[in-house]
Amino acid sequence: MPARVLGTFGDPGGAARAILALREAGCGEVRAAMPAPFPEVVAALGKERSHLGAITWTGALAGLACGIALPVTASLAWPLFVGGKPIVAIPAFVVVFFELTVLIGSLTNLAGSLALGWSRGGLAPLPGGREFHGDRIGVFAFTDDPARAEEVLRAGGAEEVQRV
Amino acid sequence: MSTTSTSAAFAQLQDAVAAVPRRLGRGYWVLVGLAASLLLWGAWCYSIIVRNGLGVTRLNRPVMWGNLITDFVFWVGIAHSGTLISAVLFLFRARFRTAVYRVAEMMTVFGVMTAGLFPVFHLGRPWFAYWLFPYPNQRHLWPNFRSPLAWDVFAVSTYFIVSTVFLFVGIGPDAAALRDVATGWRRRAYGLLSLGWHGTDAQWRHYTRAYLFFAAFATPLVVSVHSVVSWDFAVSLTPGWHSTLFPPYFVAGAILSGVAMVITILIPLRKVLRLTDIITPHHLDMLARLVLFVSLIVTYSYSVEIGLSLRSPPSDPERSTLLYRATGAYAPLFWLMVTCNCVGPMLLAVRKVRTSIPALLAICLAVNVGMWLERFNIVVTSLSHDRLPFSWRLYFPGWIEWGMTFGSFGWFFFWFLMSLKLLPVVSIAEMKEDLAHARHVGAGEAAHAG
Amino acid sequence: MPGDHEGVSRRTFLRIAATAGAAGAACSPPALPQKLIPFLVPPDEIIPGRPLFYRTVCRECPAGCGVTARTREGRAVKLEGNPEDPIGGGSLCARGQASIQALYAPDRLDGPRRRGADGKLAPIPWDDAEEALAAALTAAREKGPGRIRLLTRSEPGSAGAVQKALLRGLGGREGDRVVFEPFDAAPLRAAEKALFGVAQLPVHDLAQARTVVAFGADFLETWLSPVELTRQLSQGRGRVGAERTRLLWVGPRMSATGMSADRWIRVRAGGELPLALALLRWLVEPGHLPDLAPAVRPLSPRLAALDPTALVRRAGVRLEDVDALGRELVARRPSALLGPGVASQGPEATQLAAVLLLANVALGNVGRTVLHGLDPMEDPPSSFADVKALLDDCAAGKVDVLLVHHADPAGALPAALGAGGALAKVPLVVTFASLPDATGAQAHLHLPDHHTLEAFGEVSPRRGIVALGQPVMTPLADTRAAAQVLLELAGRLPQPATPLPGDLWEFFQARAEVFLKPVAAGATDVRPVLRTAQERGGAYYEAAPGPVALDASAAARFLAPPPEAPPPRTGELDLLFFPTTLRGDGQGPRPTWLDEVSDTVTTVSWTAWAELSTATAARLGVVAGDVLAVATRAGRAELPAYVYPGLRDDVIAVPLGGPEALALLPGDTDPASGALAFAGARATVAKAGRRIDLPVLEGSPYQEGRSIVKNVSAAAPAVKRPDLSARMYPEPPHPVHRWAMAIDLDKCTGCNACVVACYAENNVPVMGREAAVMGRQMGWIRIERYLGPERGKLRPDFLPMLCQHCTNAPCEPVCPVYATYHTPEGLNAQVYNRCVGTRYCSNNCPYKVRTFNWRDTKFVRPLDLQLNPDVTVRSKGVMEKCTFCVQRIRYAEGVAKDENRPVADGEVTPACAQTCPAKAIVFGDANDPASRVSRLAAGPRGFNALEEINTRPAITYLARVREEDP
Repeated sequence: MPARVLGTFGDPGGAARAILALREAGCGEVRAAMPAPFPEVVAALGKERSHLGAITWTGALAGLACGIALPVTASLAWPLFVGGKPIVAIPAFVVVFFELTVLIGSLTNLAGSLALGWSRGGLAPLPGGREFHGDRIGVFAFTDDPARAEEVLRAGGAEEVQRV
Repeated sequence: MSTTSTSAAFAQLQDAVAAVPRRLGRGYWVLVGLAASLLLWGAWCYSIIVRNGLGVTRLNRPVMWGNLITDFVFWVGIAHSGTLISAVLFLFRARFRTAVYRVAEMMTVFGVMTAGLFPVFHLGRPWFAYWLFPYPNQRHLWPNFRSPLAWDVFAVSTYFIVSTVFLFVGIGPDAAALRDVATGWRRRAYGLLSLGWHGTDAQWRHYTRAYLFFAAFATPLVVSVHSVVSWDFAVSLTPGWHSTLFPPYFVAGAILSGVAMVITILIPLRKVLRLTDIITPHHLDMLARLVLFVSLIVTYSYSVEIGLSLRSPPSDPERSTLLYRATGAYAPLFWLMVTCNCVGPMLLAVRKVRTSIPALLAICLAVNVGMWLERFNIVVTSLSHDRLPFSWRLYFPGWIEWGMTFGSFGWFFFWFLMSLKLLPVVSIAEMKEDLAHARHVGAGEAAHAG
Repeated sequence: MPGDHEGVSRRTFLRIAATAGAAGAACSPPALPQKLIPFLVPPDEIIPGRPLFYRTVCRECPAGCGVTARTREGRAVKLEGNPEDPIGGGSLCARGQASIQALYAPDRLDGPRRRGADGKLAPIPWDDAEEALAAALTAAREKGPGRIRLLTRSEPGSAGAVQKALLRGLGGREGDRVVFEPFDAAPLRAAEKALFGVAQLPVHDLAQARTVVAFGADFLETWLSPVELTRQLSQGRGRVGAERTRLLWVGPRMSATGMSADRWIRVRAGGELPLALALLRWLVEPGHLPDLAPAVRPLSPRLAALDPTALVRRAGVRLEDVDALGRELVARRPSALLGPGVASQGPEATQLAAVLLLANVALGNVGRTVLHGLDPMEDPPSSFADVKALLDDCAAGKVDVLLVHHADPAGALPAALGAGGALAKVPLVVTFASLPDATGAQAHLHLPDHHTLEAFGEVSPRRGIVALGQPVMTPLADTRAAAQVLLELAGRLPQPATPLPGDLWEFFQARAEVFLKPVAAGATDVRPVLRTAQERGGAYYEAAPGPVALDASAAARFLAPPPEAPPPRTGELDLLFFPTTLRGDGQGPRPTWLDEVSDTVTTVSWTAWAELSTATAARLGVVAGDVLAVATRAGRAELPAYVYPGLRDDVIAVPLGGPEALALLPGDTDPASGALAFAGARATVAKAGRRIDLPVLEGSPYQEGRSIVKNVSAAAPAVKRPDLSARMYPEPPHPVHRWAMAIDLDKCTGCNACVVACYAENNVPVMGREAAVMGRQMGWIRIERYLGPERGKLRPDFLPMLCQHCTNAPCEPVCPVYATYHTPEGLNAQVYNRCVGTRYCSNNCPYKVRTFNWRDTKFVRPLDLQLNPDVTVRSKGVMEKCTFCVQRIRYAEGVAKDENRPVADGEVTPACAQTCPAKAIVFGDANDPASRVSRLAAGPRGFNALEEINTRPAITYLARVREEDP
């Protein structure tokens, strides 16, 4: 099991530089925890984009399907003439199509983002039990060569470096 | 050096937001009491309607809709600013939204909560309100999906759910941040609200994506909701209602009232909660410009509506009704409305006025009144001046309707005030992002200079 | 009327006969059992859920229209006209429709009462009551003749005969029995007597008349026989061109009758007589009327002596008007000149009546449109002078016992006469009224009569007609037929002078022997004839009008120019009293339906009002709702103002039928006939300084240039209709029926009979005055009375407005819960128990015919017994509206199905169409091109209301015809 080294930074720029250095140094996997999605840090980690889009799109399409199915089947279930309009009055139903698309789409989006955020130990406390919501950014290196990692982190300007 | 100052700035911001509940003193509780009593009065008035039927109102034939529907449209309008500011401006990358959108979103949610009550309140048999929802029942009876009121059910409930989700998703990271500094029940509450947030890069990647999608859903939704509400009128045959102009006209009106309400609430809020250096005059200025812009759209709509009607012969009911608004029994309300919604905001074109906080507050309060009057004008004058002159009749609200109108304000502010005790009124995470961004840019420039 | 005859079967008749028979058996003290004995084995014609029809007669006014009472499970629920009756012709007016409310009135007296020493009424057994009365009568008789008086409504039948017999038995004189009919056309009788020697009322046949000129005779509202005259007039309406009957209205105020007129000749108050004289003079002028009736020739010199210019000046018209009128009457013969009516009944009423009769003779109308010899003259009303004399005797203490039979002098006589004070002087006032009225408030003994629907009786309104009344249900309360009580009294008197049968049924049968002779055709046993007659509602036989001979010398007396009226003092206006169908003559309490329904002319309900012309109102600075202080030499009254352009500027008009009018009436008489002079008063008018919310139905009385109600003329005989051929969607299928209605606006007189019929049929709640002020009346049909096409232009139109049952109904798609939808039979159905009350349907209904239940309505017992069991009583919070009487449609379809045949045209008749006196409403199946409604709708006068918005209503209006004067 690889050792885990944590370096804390006060400034996103510094954290980003340190992360790049760690990756150049091939210090295993690098992760970060931060109070806000600092673009430079995210960029430095260079992970591929989230797959949430696929989930949300399916949700939206499912919503559209329900949106079409509900008014059409309901109107056909009891075909009453109102105002001389056809039983299946598409223009009138468009509103329902749209609203259900949005509703089910966003709910899937919520469910999807939660699931993804909680998966891969997302719910587990961070190594060392510290939280980084306040004014610090934590950079974790999972490496077999902790010494090197600590060195790189210090060189990167970490305020403190520790093994966790 | 930039390191320390950045984190210092973060800490300062976070403390400011975390301190909000502590700043709510006796005055706050007085306000809560006031809101609660208004709310109870409204509830009492409604109980009278339920017990004795709508006969206790001043409604009549032909004017079968009055204050209650006016209130509905008004509050749906109020509910629009939030999503507009948080979603639309987010997609437009308008940075000034960051400081103000949380308050706006809270307003949205409580606004919809208020608006959603009135379609039920105004029913003749409110205890059967659930018949409007499509639920499976053994008689296979379904709502009539051709009815604009059925569309309302979908639009408003969707809007309520989505905007609530949007609000709490935004709150998640902040809750996590505040949990660290909070104690007691608040700590537990924040723990709940943070939804297991740790702020890892993986979570942030999904989160930013999700937020983008929410914004993408909410943007057309916000446009659709008030369009649907406008169809309650535009789809009908009634002169003064039957107009294709209504959807954009209503959306603009909604944004006008919503943003005006945001400003009305922000100005005292930032003072009392000492958030003046987070919510700065710059933000108010930007919002004021927004008010000016939509007010121009609304003014244009008014003039188009009347201008077009003038092209038809004098006997035409449409024309007759629209001129009746400006000249008939309700003319004073009409002109007051024009003053509040068109003339007032024009003054915001002058920088001096825009940047004077009392002036801004006054104008926005006036817009709130004016927008309520606009809805009253649309609902009541059109009905009171229908196609058959024989059935013309006036409507003036009675004390019961007024009780419920003011009660709705009580209900809205009760929830808003209570939420101040818990919910972060400013998005900490996004503020931090902005701060860092600003410094980053600043540092870059410094380097170039050096 | 489906099921009439099986309705009154042998069994039914026998049951009723048995009742009365039982009554007979048990007659004379001890008192009669007044209840029908319940059946152990129910008779087979009483089938729960099936209506049972009885024929009887309406007693609301002397016209005597035949009635078909629909009963359900042994209680009357609805009154309709008797189609076999020659007078009503199957129709009833608003009053007739509402008379059933008196049967179920919550405040109806449930038994005899006696006023104790404390002045309070206390219940008393019938026996004691009759005993006490008998004693009183005996005592009074001892004192000599004239101590016992009887004030009664006109009772041309058994009741009247019994009264006369009893009085005779009590040694009474002729004049001791006074017949009280406030609106009786006494001047006309007097004129007939003077001119033709017989004090009879003429009978009119307006169907033959090509031009009808009404000199203040509101024959479409209250005059003589309104339902019959309306029907006759409408027979000549609804066609374009010369064959259409024209109606000319002469009077200072455009009454409801005047609104149906083609021309309004605005004479000043009291100007009818000068105009009539000028007209008569014009007619006899050489060369004007080629075949002038020889009888009037001798009058020419007298007439020639009259100064036409003076006459027209007095009438407030121009010579050209007389000329035009004369030329029209000469060109369009036969015609009919009607008058005077209550509104034109002034101090010279008899002269006016005479001059009009002479004109009718001159024009050869007598014998063609004005018929004589048909008045049975059975119990003609006494003159107002006689009534006054009676009151004077009462006041002078010359009367010991006053029997009051369905007459309410205190409620219908000018306050100036002090009827109340006079009654107070009478030791014993006995009333047979079944409802508390002004007179009853002073009566010492209340002996409540049956309601007409609970009692036997017959009236002969005219020769050739004996209308039979019969009980259609068990009496609700411990009441007794007044005539029966009188018979019992006769029995209780010591040594009855004339032996009377102790039981009304026997008395009635004895009379039947006589009045059935013309139809009995020499039958020995008259009972089966009587049975048939009762099944039909009366004995109808041919009675030919007789000729009359004019007494020219007598006629000459009427040709003197009337005395010049003194010029009005400054600030004085001519005061015009006018009657309305809904308010009636003011006797007794008014059924709430008549209060709730809006007046035709002003659309005011629940209150009296005073009308001022637009100019006069402006001059006095008065707007509608301002309370006016009106004062005459008789008294003063405060009345809310209604600004009415259909009024001369020098006139203020006040409706009769209420204390306000009575306070103002001077109570003068027309000396020639002794009739009360309603016209001829003057009043000062001032603002009282208050204003009230006037309960008016109308929003704007004008069409605001929207040409909602179309007109046609000979020049342009067809309505120009928009092209609506474009269709966005296919029309919803109507596989079997497509119910539709046609309403002929050329026939409609705005009489409100349909409105009241709808209240009765559909359990429409009465909301009261406050609701009327707020515009919350629940009526499913209303008369939209437009005064003119645009503001300030007077051209009245009636538009009966009810649910249009549109094919593209705007109300349907907006309902979120399908509470209203389009049925396969083309009805716009309203599902009460699905309705949640969004009220969007009403907002989107361009016709505003949907009413909302603002509250739960309580039908106070026993009013609930009148509720139609076929129609749901709606609860608070739901919408309702006209259903085209779907219950009647279902009933007819059911009957047709049982007999497995298609529904015949005309078999389904909604309540409004059924009762329409003008027969203006036709209902039927639009799927059947041969049906009357289809043919009418296809005609050139057809149009839909607000056609341009393409709602495609099932109701087609037939445009009113406007003929420019020839």
